[in-house]
Amino acid sequence: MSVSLTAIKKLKINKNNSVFIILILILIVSGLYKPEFLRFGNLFGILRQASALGLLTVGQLFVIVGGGVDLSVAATMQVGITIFTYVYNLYGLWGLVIGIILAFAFGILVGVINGIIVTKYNVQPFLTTLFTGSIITGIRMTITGIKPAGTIPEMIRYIGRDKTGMIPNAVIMFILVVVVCYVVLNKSVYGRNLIAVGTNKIAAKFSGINTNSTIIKSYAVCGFLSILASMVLAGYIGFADQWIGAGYEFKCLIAAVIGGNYLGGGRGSIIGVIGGTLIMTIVLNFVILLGLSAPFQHVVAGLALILALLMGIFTRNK
Amino acid sequence: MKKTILWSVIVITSFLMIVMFALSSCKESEVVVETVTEEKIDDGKFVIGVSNEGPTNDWAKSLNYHIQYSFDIKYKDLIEKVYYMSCEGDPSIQVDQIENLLTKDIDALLVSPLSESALVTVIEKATDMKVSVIVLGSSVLTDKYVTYVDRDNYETGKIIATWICEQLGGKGKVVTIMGEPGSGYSEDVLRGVSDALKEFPDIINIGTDYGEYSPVVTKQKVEAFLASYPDLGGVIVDGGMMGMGVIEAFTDAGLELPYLTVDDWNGFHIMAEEIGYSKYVSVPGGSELAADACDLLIKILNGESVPKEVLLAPSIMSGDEVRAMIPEGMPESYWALCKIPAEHVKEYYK
Repeated sequence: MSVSLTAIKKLKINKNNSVFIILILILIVSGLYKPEFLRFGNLFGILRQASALGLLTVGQLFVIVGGGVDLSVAATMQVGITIFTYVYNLYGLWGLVIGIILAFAFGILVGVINGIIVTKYNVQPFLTTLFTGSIITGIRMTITGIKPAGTIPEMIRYIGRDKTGMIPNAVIMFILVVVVCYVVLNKSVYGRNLIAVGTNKIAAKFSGINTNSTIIKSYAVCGFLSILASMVLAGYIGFADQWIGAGYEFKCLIAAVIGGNYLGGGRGSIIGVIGGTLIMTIVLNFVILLGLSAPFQHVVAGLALILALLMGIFTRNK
Repeated sequence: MKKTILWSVIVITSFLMIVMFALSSCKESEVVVETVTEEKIDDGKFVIGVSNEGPTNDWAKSLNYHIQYSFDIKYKDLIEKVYYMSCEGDPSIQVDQIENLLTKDIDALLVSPLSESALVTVIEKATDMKVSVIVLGSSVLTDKYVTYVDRDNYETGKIIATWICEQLGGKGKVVTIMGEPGSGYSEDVLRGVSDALKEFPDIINIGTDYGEYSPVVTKQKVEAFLASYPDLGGVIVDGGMMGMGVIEAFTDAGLELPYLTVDDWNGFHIMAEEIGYSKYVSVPGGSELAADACDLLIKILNGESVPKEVLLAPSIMSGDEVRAMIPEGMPESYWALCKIPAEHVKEYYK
């Protein structure tokens, strides 16, 4: 008992974990108002809803830590799922394998192109990724005529919708990615290089770090995770909607910032990403639970998110 | 090295632009980008501006197909030029595009407003410039147009809500899921739903929300409702794609599927048949009315008088009735009440 109390005392509230206080508050209020909200089934359902956004936000975090931002993630998701579904519907089982490879290769390629333009020509990441997103969306619309890409295979449904025991597979996927990315970002040479580049690019260069390569890799990771997120989301709805993930480019940025991450680069918290993603998702469920009309939902959701941001600011230096 | 990369980027970009241009020419893309302002030739033919949402979803695409069929095939001898503008779902872009169209000496403007209020000024400006304005598919808060063609969205709201309430025997819990907040289309449907629900005091509308015509958003919101109200008996939905999100949410929760209202979008009906679901009715989405709007536009330009408002009275159809109207082999993107003749329909719905 005393050990656990000591552990609690050692827990320091900072800008990355303060968001969990708001989360706990929302859960307490929700549970008091509607006890069934706290059922495991419902909580896992919320976690499943959060998984695709979480994957995307982890990818975005890599870019943010390197001092950039990627606004092409939604467009990458849409093209990725379209490529995958078209190839799968054309070639069946072989198409499943080839489609997955092509989709992930596409995501990485978009990331590499973004990274090259940002690093080699010093174009603002905001503009670069906005325009690459626009270009690939245009190409998708022209080539496909925006027809629904067709049915998705059961394997994708398995990832996005089904469960292992009580836990949705999407959540397991998210946890795995979080663990791997946590290790990469905090324990690997690449992670330390990325933080160094994001903190001070010139100093990092003089330290012998290949800054361009480091940044390009961060965009590639983001592209890869965008494709993974698109598959989880397609599996969630069971349909290859060509507009899948629309608006997620900003949602994942917001989730990252609410989680206490700094858009200027050099710092990044995976724990913060989890908190930011969860609060973005739970707030949606919370306002519906309260039975608020759509306009009031916006007000309450906005207030809850501002509160989470303020918590981060107040605890910044702790 | 840098120069090589720079040149590579330039070459690749140029190549992409050429490919895109070739592809768009081959596919008769839905957006025509005009680079030359042409002098209007007074040969009795008409110059028309079309401003709509763009191919952002299957409904908007079907709307475009009917317009393209009307102007490119049905009335091609009467048309000198059609300027198609699509604003990708952004009302502010739509305002700019209409302003741009008004510089092209158009005789008529066919517009599907994305906002009840944002387009008022520019539509009134078009009318002041003696351009015949035809409003299609969504209302706008001005009467300075020649005619307004739409599904009767208010009546649609009433009819779908009434059907759900009747199926539940006038007692039970429902949820209402509309399309886009702020669009005249959705708000008119919602007004009809609200009025119909007043007739059934024992029906509890747990909440009204917007699915943004997205199955993902709809599924997330319905899951949130189901967390607290697993005993929902019906969902009043204005669209098949959102209906798919509802079905997914109930299926995942392991609950009995509710009574549902959708539209005539083929994708939903294919899915419903696959899973053996039939507790729903369909009310036409109204994309086919674009053909009627084009007919009226030609009448107006020929000097004939037309009604100020043409509202299609909604009708309720079962899933089987809708499927019976859909030619075999039609894709998910097809809409059952299509007005494009059979010999041309496959040119559009591929």
